[in-house]
Formats: sequence, structure tokens, C-alpha cells
Amino acid sequence: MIISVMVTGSPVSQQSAQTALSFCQAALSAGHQIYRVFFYEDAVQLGSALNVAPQDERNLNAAWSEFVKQYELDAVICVASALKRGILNDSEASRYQKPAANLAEGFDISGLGQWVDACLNSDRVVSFGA
Amino acid sequence: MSTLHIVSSSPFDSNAFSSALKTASQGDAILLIENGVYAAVDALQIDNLMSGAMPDVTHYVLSEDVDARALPRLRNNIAKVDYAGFVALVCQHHNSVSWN
Repeated sequence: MIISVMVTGSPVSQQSAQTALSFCQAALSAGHQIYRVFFYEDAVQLGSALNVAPQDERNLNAAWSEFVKQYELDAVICVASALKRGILNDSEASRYQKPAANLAEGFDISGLGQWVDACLNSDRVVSFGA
Repeated sequence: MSTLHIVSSSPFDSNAFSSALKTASQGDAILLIENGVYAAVDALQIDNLMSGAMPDVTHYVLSEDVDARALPRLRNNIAKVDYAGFVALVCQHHNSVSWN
């Protein structure tokens, strides 16, 4: 089946980003296709390349970035949520004259329309987080 | 058209589990994940929440999250699934609703 996943929970205070990653890995293992992963609200923090995890904790940002690169998934960070939280790619950084961009490898910044498109083109959609 | 209700908050923190129980209709399933797994324990408070719930709704709990919380005793009307089972449940039902 074609599955899309929305993640909304903060990776630093909620379990949902971890749950969503395990779900996506299990879905691919079962032979399903992941059409898109859409990161919304606090989950856009996963798109930051600047977070530093304590040595004795799993680095979820790195795990997600590696995962979407490995399977060449369409991983979309919501632009409105991202800008508010200081997650920018090169074009947004120059548009708003910010000193740096910090979007991690494997992610794209785009709009909520990408989630509408995912719902239309997927057999199943699942949402993780508050 | 059946629905999978995914409950991720503890029944002692939020109304997520109660809402799922009230909303689920015949043929639906409820899957407890994250802190939602506390609704799987064999306890009087949970029995009280469940009284009057729709009978033909199957309850599942994510085993990884049960193990992570070292829950001792689960009620006997609930089935454990792993992440592969989670994916299978999503595929078996037409829609999913996430309750927090």
C-alpha cells in the first residue's frame, strides 16, 4: 500500500517522532511504499542540522535524516511551522535576510498543500503527535 | 469502512482513551501506543472507563511501549502487536484517527 505519515510532536519532549520513525521502518520492511512524510508544528525541529544530542541519548534528528536519505523519501518540513522556529533552507534564509540556513540533508521545506497532495495520493495516512 | 483509533496519551492524563471508546463503532479497532499503553493495564479505573463501551471493537497495544514502561499485568481483552502489527492494522482499516 501507499502510506503517508504526518509528524507533529516535538522531538525533544514527545515520543511521537521516535514512534513515527519506527512505524515508517516497519512499513518499508513490510513492502509498503511511503509516499511522503510531512513534518508539522513542533516536529519541524527534526529538520534542524544544528541540534546536538547528549552522548547517552539517541540523536533523533540524525536518525531521521539518515533514514530519509537512505530510502530517498519525500520528507517535507512545513514552511510556516519551520520559519517560526528558525528552521531555514538557503532560499528562505536569503529571502528573509537571515545570517545562516540550517535545514538538514534529506529534507525539503514546502507548504501544507504537500500534505493535501499526500492524502489524495495515498491509500493510508497516519498522524503521530499531539 | 472501519477506523483504527490510535491512542497515545495516558487515560490518567487526558480524555483520549475515553473519546476513542465513545467514538469507535462496530468493526473498529483501538490501538494503544506511547503513554496510551497505560489504558491496557488490568485495573479497576480502566474497567470503569470501559463499561458501556461498544462491544465489537478490538483492542490492541504496542508491545514495545508496554515493555519500555515495564507494565506488569495487562487486561485479558487486549492483544499485543509489534510495529509490523501496527502497520498491518493501519492497512486493515480504511482510516486512522490519532487521539492524544
